[in-house]
Amino acid sequence: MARGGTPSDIEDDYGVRWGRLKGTGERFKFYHSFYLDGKVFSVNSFVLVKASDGPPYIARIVKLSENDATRKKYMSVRWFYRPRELPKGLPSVDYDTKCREIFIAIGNKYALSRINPACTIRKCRVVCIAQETWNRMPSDVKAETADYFFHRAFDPEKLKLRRLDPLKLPGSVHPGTEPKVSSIHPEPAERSREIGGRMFPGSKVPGLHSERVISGKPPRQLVDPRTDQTEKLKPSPKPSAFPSTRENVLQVVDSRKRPRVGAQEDDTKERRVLGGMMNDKDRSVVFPGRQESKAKLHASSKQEVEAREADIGSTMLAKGKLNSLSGKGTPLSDKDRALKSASLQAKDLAERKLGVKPLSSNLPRGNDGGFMRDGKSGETVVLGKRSREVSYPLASDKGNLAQYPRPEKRLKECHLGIKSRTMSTDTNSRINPMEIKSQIDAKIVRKEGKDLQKQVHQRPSVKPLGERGTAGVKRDFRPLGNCQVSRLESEDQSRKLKVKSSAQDGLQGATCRVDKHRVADVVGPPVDRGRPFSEEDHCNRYTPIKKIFKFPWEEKQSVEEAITKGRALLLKNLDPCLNSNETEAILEKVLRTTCDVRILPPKVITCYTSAEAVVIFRRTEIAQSALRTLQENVLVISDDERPVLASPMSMPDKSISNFHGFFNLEKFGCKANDSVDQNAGATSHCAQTNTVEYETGLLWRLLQDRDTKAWLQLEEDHQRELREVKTKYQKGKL
Amino acid sequence: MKRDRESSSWWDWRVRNNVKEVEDTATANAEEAKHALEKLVERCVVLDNLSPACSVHTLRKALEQFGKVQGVKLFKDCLTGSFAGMAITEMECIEQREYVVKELQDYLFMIGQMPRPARATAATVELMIDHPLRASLRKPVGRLVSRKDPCWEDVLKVAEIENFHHSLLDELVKQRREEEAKLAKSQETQLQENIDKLKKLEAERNSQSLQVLRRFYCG
Repeated sequence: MARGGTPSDIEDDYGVRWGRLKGTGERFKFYHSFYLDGKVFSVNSFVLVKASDGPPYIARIVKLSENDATRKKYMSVRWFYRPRELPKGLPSVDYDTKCREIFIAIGNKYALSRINPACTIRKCRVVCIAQETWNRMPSDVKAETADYFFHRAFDPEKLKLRRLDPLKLPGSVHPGTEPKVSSIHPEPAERSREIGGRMFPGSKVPGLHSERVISGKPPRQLVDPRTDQTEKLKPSPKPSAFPSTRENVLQVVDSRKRPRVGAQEDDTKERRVLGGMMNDKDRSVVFPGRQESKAKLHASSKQEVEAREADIGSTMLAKGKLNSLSGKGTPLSDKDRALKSASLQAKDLAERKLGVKPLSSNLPRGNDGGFMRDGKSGETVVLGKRSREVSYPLASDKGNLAQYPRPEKRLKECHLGIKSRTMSTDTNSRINPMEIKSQIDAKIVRKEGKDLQKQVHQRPSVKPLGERGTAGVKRDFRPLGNCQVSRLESEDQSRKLKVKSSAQDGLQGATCRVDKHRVADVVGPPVDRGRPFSEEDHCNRYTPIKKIFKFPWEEKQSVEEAITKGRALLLKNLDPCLNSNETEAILEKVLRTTCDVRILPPKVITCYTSAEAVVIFRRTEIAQSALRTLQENVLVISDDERPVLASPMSMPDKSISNFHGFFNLEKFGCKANDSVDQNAGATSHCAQTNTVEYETGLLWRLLQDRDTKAWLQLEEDHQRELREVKTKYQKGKL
Repeated sequence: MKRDRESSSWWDWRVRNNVKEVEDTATANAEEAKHALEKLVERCVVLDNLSPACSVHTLRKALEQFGKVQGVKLFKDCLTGSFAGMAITEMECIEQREYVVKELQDYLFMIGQMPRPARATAATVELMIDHPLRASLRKPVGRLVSRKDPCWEDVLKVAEIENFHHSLLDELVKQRREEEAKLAKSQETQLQENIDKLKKLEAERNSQSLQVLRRFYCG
């Protein structure tokens, strides 16, 4: 059931369309999802967020909200750190770019932030493999096919790695704390889903299926890997191959720490925060939401932490050993490989095949394998394949890449590399060139990053940043201006090239769209420590540049243009107390389309009872249909039910200009008085009775007073009439 | 297409080191906002009939004769892109506001250009167009009433009345404009005549007829 329905027609300035409303708070509206460039992103999905510099950041959407008053829409995200964003020298962190481990941000200050949703690039898959009691480990398929995994947290304020502790995580991580979440019914698809896979068709159309699945899911808590979806994922065709063996292994490894699946299901039922949550045994997220289990888990988890860490360490070692084997595995691994490859899309398969050959020897290092809890070599092989895929394009230009000083050339080569490769595979390449580019960017900037790291560790003095250093720099670990600028440059280059490259339709569409709206959608997590290229909260919160009317003639031009093209309507009898924003909100709700409302200045100030406004729509058709709607049905606003009158807007008559009675003395041939050139205040005076000016002024005053009286009279009559009519109808009703 | 309200304050000019930037806390809850807005409105004057040559500083200087000016905002017409002839100024206190209004009512105060005198009234909440504090004043509520709606007829009737009323208002505005134009024109011609006369007099300073007149009037 497509509960989300079609995305609303209302598109904001950045091409983001908002999906289903979740609930309304006092001053905020919350949404379940939003659409951007044809893709849907929902709450609790993991996304890549465009960064002002370097590869995209990984974040998880926690909340989608809209401020009622200012009608600004935000996406609250929880950040994840990649190893490259962490300070060097942390123990047991693999800083290699191929490493897929990420770290969740904790701490109240920097873990969450609100950003513009237009900064998302795409979704990614992240799994949590923390071996805790409250964490429902993802299936192996999931774990392998995920883009990233995490099992540790990073505290940006203290620059320390921490283990995942659900209690320490800020409350808003739990979807349960979001206001007014309604219970969601389980999707039939999900019920039928099996352990190994996901039963929804891997279609590219986001509005239908993926949205269906996404929106149907209950608000997920932190570590549920299965909510992290991309639009394309085929179920494993032979899930039965896995369960028995996997389960057993699971038992072996975690038997004393984790109950079995069935038992866990019961536990999770208890632990669910929300009442109406769907009971999905596959996707149980074991967050100790309930009080009774909280303490239990907390205690138990504490004990097991060390054991876990040791466990992880040992498994990592084991995997490292396994990984060093160059792909020759047990027969099971071959089978797994086949299965795995069959479970992914054709392009993937092709790419992997391609990927396998040249890089068979470059298997990932220990960390990548480390995320697998059981030492199945098959998985490691597949994992290796996966990371190989990611790092493949680098390998192709490996030699050249490191040496090329100029980013453009490098990117161009990469593009060529990508192009040639994708052409050899299926047409719609699955590999996102952006991802690849990000890797390349990573390499490009790694050098600078290294310098930066050095500087970072040397605690450079605080310097204002190049472009966005508006706010003061707070910490020592602050990138220097030049690095920032160079990274921005490289990012600009990449962006330019991105537009040129035709590697992927989706990407093309995305960038074109982005260009159309506002480019440079960039965001960064607010943390500065440990993020060598991060900036202050304020300036890193890069809202895409909105078109601000700096000059009044710009505004006038656009308004004029809109009017002449027929995109504007004139609304009368509006409530004078409503601001433009609110009027826009009303119109949006009623007409289901975005519009721009400009309230016109009042015609009279003595009795201002109704406002007039010009409403500008995006297209002429919309304007016409809106006019029809407003004329056939009556839009009624505010409590006193004022009907709003709509009429097509035409350019105001220019013949009768507004300003009469102001003499320009020069026109009459008088010499310019000294006073005119002087301070303007000198000419402001009360007219004295013995001057000509006084008499003329008096005539004007007479005119003004007459006008005011006329207005008042009209208004009075009008009010009286209205009252009569209303009482008549009241009587009629009674 | 949108204006970004956050980048600039609502006022065109604001006195420096203003004590409390009340409007910056536009996210305050409804009660506070309402209270703050009312306080603000109490001190504001709405000026009308201003000349297009008026600038923020003209107004400021002009009204500083009456009291301390805290902020000035000029209304711009989005259609013409220029000044609409109206402004709101915030004074320091309510007494100053009353003073301004009274003065401008009793005397013909010319701001910047003459001879059209400016007019001032006390500001009301309605006139603070698009003020950010006003956003939280009322929840915008609107609904479309269709034919099938039970109160369709009532609403329609009201709408008709309103329509008529607004057409009357439009007529009034148009008439006002025409009258203004007429008056301005007549005054211009009169002024022109006067100036011509003056010029002629000055030119013929030493003419015969002038001497006679001078002797007659000045003795």
